Amino acid sequence: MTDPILVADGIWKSFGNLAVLKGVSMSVSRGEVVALLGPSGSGKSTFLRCLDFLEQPDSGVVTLNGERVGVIETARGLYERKSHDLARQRSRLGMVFQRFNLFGHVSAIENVAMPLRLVKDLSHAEAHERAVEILGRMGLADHGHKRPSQLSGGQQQRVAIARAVALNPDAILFDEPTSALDPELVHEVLDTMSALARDGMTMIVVTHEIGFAKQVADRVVFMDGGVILEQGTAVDVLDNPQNPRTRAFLAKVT
Amino acid sequence: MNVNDYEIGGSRKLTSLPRAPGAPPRDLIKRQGVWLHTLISLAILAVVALLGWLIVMSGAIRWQTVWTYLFAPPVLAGFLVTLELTVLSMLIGVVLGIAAALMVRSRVRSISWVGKAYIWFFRGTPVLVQLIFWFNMSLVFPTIGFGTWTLPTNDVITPFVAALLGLGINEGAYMSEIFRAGLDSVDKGQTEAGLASGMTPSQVMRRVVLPQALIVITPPTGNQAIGMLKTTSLVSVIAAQDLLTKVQHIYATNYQVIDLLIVACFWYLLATSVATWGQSKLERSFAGADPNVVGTRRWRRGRTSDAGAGDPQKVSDHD
Repeated sequence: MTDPILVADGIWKSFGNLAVLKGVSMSVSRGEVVALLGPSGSGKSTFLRCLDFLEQPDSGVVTLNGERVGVIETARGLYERKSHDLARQRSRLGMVFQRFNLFGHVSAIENVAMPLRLVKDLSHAEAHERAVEILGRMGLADHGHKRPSQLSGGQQQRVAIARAVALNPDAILFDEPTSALDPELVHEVLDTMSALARDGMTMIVVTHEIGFAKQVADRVVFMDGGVILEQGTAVDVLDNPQNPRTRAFLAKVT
Repeated sequence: MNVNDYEIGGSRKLTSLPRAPGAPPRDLIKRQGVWLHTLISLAILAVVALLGWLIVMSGAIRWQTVWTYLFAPPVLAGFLVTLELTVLSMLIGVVLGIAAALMVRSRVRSISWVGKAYIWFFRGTPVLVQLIFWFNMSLVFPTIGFGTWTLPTNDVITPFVAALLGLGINEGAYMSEIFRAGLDSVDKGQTEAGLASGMTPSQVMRRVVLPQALIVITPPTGNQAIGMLKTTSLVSVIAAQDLLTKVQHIYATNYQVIDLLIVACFWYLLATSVATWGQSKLERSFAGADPNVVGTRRWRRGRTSDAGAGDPQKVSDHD
């Protein structure tokens, strides 16, 4: 755990007058699973989106494998990266959304295969083969030809995870992956994520699933009001919280 | 396939809907006040019959003349020009419309401004005026070209070209609004998912957003095409040899105005009816609350994933 792969340093982000992130720093090592907890409005999702440059931080540094994400530092100041350059960086970082965001006009297989062709330059046959293989691993072998609208929420989210995994990224960011699911579908998505964690995938997971955080996360980070209030092992933070706001939050959700 | 087919087909009777095994027959529920409906229908029929009788008996319409000119070569040639103008100016309109819609969304302010100015100008002036403008372009630029490659403007901008430019460029301004609405209808999450997968913004636009916007864009575009069939008649003021121009030429010599206008109406109605039928077929294939379930599948048969998991070649089109 001494190989920092994704590092955020002093991230600030405001929307209008509202400061959502007030200097958030975090370093994630290869293979580490970080659970990011906190009440809604605490800035967890915004932080995650800043790591992928879907939101541009107002200030602060994000590096992936030592390379600054989204911007280039020069002697004359910071420059925005060209779109293909930013796309290359994003392809190293998977993202799973609360609302799945599967491409609605194509099949599950094509959802996985399309980025492989466009981003990884795989041929049709190679991309298709890889998509089928990964969907099979996610237990979706029978659903590959279906459209997202024909799948359950849990199946859709597993396709979304397959889409992220297929690109073989350095880390995957999960933005409340089970919050939009019916309760009985939550476990199948969490099981898929646990399996990924066992395989050594580096993950940052914004979640309200305390049980998942306890079982799977190497580190639990608690955020509120745009800052990190407390972090440590799952046992430290969840069973023996030091900060009163962490305690108040955990009392409410468990 | 399932209940959807019945809802979308629309033509099947309610009582013939499939019933769960063991379910009792459907209740037959009768309408009230049927006699009033019958009375209204009869009254409407009487008025229509009277109007028809008056028109036919007035003697203003010489059906023999109508029949003589219905398939006359100049009329058919004019109808062909009308169809050509419709198709070509719609093509120009679609291309310009996509371009303008994308320009308006551009981050570069001057590009966005050009798009907005184009829409503002061409939606803000009558297409008839624009047509006359293009027709008289030689008054502004007597010649076109540079150096030895110079031609008289009137040789380049013939009435047909003027008609095409006028209709197409005007249509582009309206189409851009349709495209803008279509692009806006695609959820922002689709773009974010594409970007997060490492696609470039232009790949996301072409492969993710546009295909889904098309579902929203197609019905109003069909509407515009049907409107265009009739709008082409405006080009008769610049003698672009369309159906109305031809008909006017004929009645200018034989003075049988009404008969020849009926001839023109016959062909316009035929074209718009065929186009309306085609549009409703197209729309039905898009129908349903969820455009992803029935409509697009039928529409894209053979193009995308319906081929199934077994055949990698058919899974998607090329980039």
